[in-house]
Amino acid sequence: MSLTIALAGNPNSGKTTMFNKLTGANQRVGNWPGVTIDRKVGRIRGTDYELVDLPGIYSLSPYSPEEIVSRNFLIEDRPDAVINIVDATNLERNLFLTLQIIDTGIPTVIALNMMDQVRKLGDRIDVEKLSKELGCRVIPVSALNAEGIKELVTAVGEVAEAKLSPEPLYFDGDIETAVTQAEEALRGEVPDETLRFHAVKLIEKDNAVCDSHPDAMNKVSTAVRELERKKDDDADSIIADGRYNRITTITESVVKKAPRDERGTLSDRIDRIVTHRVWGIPIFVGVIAVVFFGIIGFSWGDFKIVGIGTWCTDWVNDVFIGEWIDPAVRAWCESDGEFSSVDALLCSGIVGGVGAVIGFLPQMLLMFLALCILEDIGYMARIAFVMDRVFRHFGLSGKTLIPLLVGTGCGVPGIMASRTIESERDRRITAMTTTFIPCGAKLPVIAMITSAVFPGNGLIAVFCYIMGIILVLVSGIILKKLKSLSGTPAPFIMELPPYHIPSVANILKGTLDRGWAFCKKAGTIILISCIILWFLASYDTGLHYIGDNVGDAQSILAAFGGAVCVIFAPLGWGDNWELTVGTITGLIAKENVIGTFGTLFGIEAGDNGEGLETVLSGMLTKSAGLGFLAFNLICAPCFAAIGAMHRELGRWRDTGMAILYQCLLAYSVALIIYGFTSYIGGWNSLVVDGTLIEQAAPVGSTVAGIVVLAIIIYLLWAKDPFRQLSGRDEYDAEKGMRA
Amino acid sequence: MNNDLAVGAVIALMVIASVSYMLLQRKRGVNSCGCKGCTRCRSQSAVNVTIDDDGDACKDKN
Repeated sequence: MSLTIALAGNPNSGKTTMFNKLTGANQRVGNWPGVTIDRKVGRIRGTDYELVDLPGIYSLSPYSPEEIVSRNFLIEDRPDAVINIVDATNLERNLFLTLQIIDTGIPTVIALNMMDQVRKLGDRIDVEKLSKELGCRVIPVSALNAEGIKELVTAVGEVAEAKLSPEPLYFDGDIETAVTQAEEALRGEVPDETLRFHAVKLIEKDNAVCDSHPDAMNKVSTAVRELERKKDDDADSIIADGRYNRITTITESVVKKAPRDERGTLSDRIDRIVTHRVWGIPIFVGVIAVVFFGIIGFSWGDFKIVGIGTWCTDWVNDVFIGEWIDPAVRAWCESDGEFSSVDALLCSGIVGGVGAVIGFLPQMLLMFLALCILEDIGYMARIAFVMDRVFRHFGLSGKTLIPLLVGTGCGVPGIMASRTIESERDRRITAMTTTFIPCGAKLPVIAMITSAVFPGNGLIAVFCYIMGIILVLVSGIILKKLKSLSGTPAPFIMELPPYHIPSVANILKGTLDRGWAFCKKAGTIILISCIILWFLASYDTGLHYIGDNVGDAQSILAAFGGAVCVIFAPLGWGDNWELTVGTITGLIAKENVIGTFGTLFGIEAGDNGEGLETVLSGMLTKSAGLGFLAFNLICAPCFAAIGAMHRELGRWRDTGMAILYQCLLAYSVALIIYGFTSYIGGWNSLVVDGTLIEQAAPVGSTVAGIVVLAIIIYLLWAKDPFRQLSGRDEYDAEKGMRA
Repeated sequence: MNNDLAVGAVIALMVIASVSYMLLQRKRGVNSCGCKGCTRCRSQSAVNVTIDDDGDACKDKN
């Protein structure tokens, strides 16, 4: 029999892990709340049951988009049964949602998850008694260890097929009288099976229910007012209080907690250090630094550490591609005694372009691995907590942090994650700024520029992340002064998951998924881009083939790049049209910057024997290189991310304004970097044939940089004309009036 | 013997394979970055939009 089963529960209660165990799917599991921002559908293995994984929610009140998604599905689509995942280590809070699910009248099975943790803590839960108290089947499970999965599937099948609706949990006297009146008022207006749910929501003055049933609301308004007068509280607080009273009674009778260590759990003790008011941020910077020093390396004067990723990437570039693939392909192409344009396309265009991107795969895999480990042990959630303090200080919502953390993998889901933000203003600002944090596709660009102008210095990667966070803050402060983006920040509440030893399978899956996506991109969009670029760089405007010298100044691409590159002259890289073309092709996919250089410089074809880094260090000074990197990280993201941004912003006009803002900000930051850092010793020199050639001081860029910096500072400090009073302001104003 | 034909055929095969894969991904609502997006959703910027594996529920709902 085909049944639809919903999987519902609190954030971070293990729903996605359970979904994967039940369906055999490979949905990504994250150790922070809010990983599921949409609903996912799969089939329970060995059955006909369709399983719908709903976003994690705390209640069925439509406060946030996740709650709306879950509530609409449960009430409007009415699945045949609900598996309510309950975190057994935190029963009190989880049962608040359970009681509301029971009110919907949908056959429910409680999956008491994380029972392994309960045992570890020495606690005991009387499952039989809990089942009796809640009036529905309760199955102890551990999604992580696949314990109790079979029993859960059997139970949910039995309950759904028998349509065993749980008995609602009744409130105490006065509340229940009001609910009964609401049921009478709603009878006939809503289906009988959801009557109780709607009646309770009507008493709670739930906006959605009140708006759709105004007559019923009028009928019970006297009863609600009477209830509020008697209990001296708001109706929704009275209902919440009623539920918690019931929950307390249940948990007191079924849970026997073992005595706890006064110092708290291990997670509590670690959190006292890593989320410390003072040490939290330095520890965060330190963790990111250690990751990048280990992968890219570190150098300061004569002191040098070679990163594992740099070592592996050098091997892939120099040996695997440089000595094995490239000579083999070239030998095959030249086996007929001539090197035609088709041969050049394969050697310079495809092997050169795609090979340059693939060369960074080892570094990427190690970076993805590090990010996956940090996420899986639970540290990413702590970063959100630590940074929330900073964000709130600048009037920004800490909710912005979840999209930023998701965006470290890819900007598209990062932008989509901004949907979880209730405030329209915060959501739009977040969608516009999420891509400032370097995504996976930007990591190879960071690695390439670092190895070219700051050889083996992981500090540059750390700088890129910190710059991204600072620019999100700066943008938030500036953009909220626009009328369309003004308003008070939404409050941010996030539960910190306990630390746990990372799951090898989860980490490997996360790393390999991202690595595979990187390879697929190289084999698809980057391959096609390289072919087109090779054509544009190998033919002149009269469509005559100009030989294997793909970087020829007579080519179509050179004519175009030469006309456009003047825009970037104040940034220190306007003399090289190849850099301009790389920046533009980065819009297709950010890795394309490298693919473009690989094709244009024909490096892997071995025609000049120089490495990509050597060519770039002869084109970019340290200052211009850092500015080039900053520009490419902040300017308009790839087309996929622009599409995602457009879907969140709604109108092309807004999307266009967002792209313009990103490009202007990127240009300003690159100008400031180039204009100011060129005076640092050795930062304004090119490396040609191993010798440093000092360049003229960019006085014009410095003056322009000072003007731009002054404008940014003015915008930061200018009074916000649309500032709305916060609770604290209102309190102060009221106090002032009383005085 | 001239091997341009063989080299050209290899390139053509690579192009056909990569374009076909990209078109397939596009049909499945997967962006060029490999991440799933609601490209088939008619509501575009609706906040409470839902997405499933093939994007159909999203399309039907909106």
